[in-house]
Amino acid sequence: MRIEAKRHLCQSYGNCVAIDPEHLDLDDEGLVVVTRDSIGDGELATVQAGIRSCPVNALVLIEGE
Amino acid sequence: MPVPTAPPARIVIVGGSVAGARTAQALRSDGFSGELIVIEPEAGEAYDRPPLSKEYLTGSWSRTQLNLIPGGWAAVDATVIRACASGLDVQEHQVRLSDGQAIRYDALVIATGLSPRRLVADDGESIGHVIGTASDADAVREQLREGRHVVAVGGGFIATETASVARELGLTVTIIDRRSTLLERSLGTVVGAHIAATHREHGVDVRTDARIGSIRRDGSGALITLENGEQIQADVLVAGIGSEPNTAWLHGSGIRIDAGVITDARCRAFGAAGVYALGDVAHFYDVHSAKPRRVGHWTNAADQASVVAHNLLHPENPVGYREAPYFWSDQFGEKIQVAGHPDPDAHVDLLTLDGPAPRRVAIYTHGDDDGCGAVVTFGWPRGMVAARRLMPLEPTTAEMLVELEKLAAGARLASVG
Ligand SMILES: Cc1cc2nc3c(=O)[nH]c(=O)nc-3n(C[C@H](O)[C@H](O)[C@H](O)COP(=O)(O)OP(=O)(O)OC[C@H]3O[C@@H](n4cnc5c(N)ncnc54)[C@H](O)[C@@H]3O)c2cc1C
Ligand code: SF4
Repeated sequence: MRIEAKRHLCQSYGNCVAIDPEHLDLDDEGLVVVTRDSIGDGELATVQAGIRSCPVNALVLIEGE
Repeated sequence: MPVPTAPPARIVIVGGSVAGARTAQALRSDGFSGELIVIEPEAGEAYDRPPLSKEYLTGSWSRTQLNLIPGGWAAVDATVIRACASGLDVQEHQVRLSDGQAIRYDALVIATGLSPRRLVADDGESIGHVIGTASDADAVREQLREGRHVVAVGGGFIATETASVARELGLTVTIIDRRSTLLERSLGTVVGAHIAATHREHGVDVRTDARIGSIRRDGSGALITLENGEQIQADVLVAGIGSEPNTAWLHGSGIRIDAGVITDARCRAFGAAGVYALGDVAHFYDVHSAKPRRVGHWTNAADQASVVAHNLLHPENPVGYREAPYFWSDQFGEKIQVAGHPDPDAHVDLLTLDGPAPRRVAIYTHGDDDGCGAVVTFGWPRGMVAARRLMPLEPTTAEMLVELEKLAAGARLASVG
């Protein structure tokens, strides 16, 4: 499982980064980047909350990888 | 009252916008496999509101770009009933609908949000546009195509964003604000004056301390007379004069209401078991200030959704909502982002930080202990991320400033930990 960021959709709101700083950050242009691919045990709820916090659905959980 | 230990079999959510949609998603991703019913009068998929006065109003975004749930309500296996809730019977655990139907629930989630107030013309009827729904925005967008002079009444985000969009479309714009500067109520006078200056630079005629005496209907437009006698003709009139919580349907139900649905820190309504409220309609107990607070911003609704879903599904292990206050606005191509609760009476430093790109920020100092109460960034999302990471640690203004100065000078974001 990993997070995919559709950077062309990102509006730099930063909500996802506030909720899930372990996996997400903004780059110098203010666009979202995935900083860590692995999702550890017990992290899934936070990862999903981070994804839901995005107003423009720029983040997707890719299952089974 | 016994504490329920099993999750409810049937959850009914009233209101299918940000708060309702995110609650439905949170319930499903937390493993809820029971029945999910959403009561929402508007047709179509759940859609997002902030772009209605921004990208959607300019015409650059389509309706499908507003969709809140990837795959729509079907993807979260929700049954949507297209109706308005008109009453609640907490004894029978039933929501009454405007068409006479009654819907039984095991747990109820109130997410009915706000309705914008309207201007009233001399003839006693409402006049002008508001922007609360996509069809409101469609109507304004249509008029912006034909109108020449747009008048936005109110000095809040709806009026200022509408003004920004209308200028972008090349129209003449006047803002009528009864306060001394734009956005005074939400951001105070220092930042408000800065934003008003930006509006003036972009050609908006900003009238502050301006009170409307009368509004006369004039074709599809209006003739506004200010209390000082000045007259302003509007081809397109848009009101951003505040909103009221949608709680009429709860009157008499026993649910406690006071400028919204009163909840405890776990987002539970008072007056009935198994009833939660969140988003713009909720007047929740804010653990930080130890006071009730109602917040009309997107992130609050989405963050509360996680809390409501968790508490519905894990009654044995409930969590409290701890707000991490944040909202944004887009005006004249610049993202204005706000972390914390900007106290209009706070001391405000409006600064430009040096670096490869100069960064404009405002820092609010609350009280006597130099605590940083809020930060506003202008077109600097990374600065806002840094501010939001620091805020929960309750920094002083000096500490916040050091962090932002470092980042502006080109440092990497401090890692959290
Ligand atoms: C034009 C506009 C621009 C905004 N811009 C920003 C921004 O830039 N940044 C920001 O942070 N926030 C912004 N907001 C605020 C943000 O959109 C709200 O905080 C958010 O929509 C709250 O979601 P909600 O679900 O609680 O309420 P709402 O979005 O108000 O939704 C309530 C829903 O309940 C339904 N409903 C009402 N009464 C009933 C009933 N009796 N029965 C059944 N259903 C009912 C309504 O049809 C509606 O779908 C903006 C809001 C608007 C309108
Ligand atoms: S929440 Fe969405 S829009 Fe905001 S920074 Fe994250 S990905 Fe971008």
